[in-house]
Amino acid sequence: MTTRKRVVVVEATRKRPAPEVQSISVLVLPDEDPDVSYLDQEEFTDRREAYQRGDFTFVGVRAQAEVVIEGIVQTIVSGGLWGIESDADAYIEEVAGEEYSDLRKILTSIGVSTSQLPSSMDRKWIEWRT
Amino acid sequence: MAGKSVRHGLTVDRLRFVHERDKDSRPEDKTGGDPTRDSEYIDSFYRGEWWFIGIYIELELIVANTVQTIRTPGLWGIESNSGNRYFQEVERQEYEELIGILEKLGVPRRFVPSIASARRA
Repeated sequence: MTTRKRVVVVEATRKRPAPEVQSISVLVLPDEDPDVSYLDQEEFTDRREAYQRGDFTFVGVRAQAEVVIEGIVQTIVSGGLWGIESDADAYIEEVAGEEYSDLRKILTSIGVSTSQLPSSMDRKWIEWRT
Repeated sequence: MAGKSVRHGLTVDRLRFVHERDKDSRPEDKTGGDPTRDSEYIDSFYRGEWWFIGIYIELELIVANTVQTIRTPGLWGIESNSGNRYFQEVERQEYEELIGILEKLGVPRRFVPSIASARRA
């Protein structure tokens, strides 16, 4: 007597589609409520006067990405750093790089493939919205 | 089980239904562009007796110590006087949509706060 082997058909394991990055930017935004108390110190007299003349303001830097998940665009943001003097160009760029690095970690945590995320920030992503 | 850490440190936090005024919808859109059709419907809209809203759901997701807001696209063009029963039906649909989004992010349904815990805003 022969027995027929029972064939069980199961659905092949499918890889969950990764969220797709649509755009990345690093925004420089106005800081509406900066803590300027440090300017009251004597060594900052020049800077305080420059601030009062309107030579510089304060900004915040935040990286953000538009990510498509289930066909819906979600905006994912880094925590951001605020209270930066707007004329501190080199420092702003340094912070922008750090914010992108934080954003990259966040994006990989939600399943975005690193192939979509350059390892370092592209300066072209910096967008001033002040 | 809100606030429970799941995959890669993702934590699901507050859930809320947002009822937002829909300024783009017009009653004429619902009457096929014929203003004479159901004029009371159109007139009462312009008298401000009712308006259009959109309903979507927002959820706070904590990822790598940052709060991210995940939302559904929502259903728009809902008459504000549609009644709570219909609003709840739309909210249920939006909730299911949110579950789909979160599953794609690796958050199983059991970690998503229940629909009953959601607040309306």
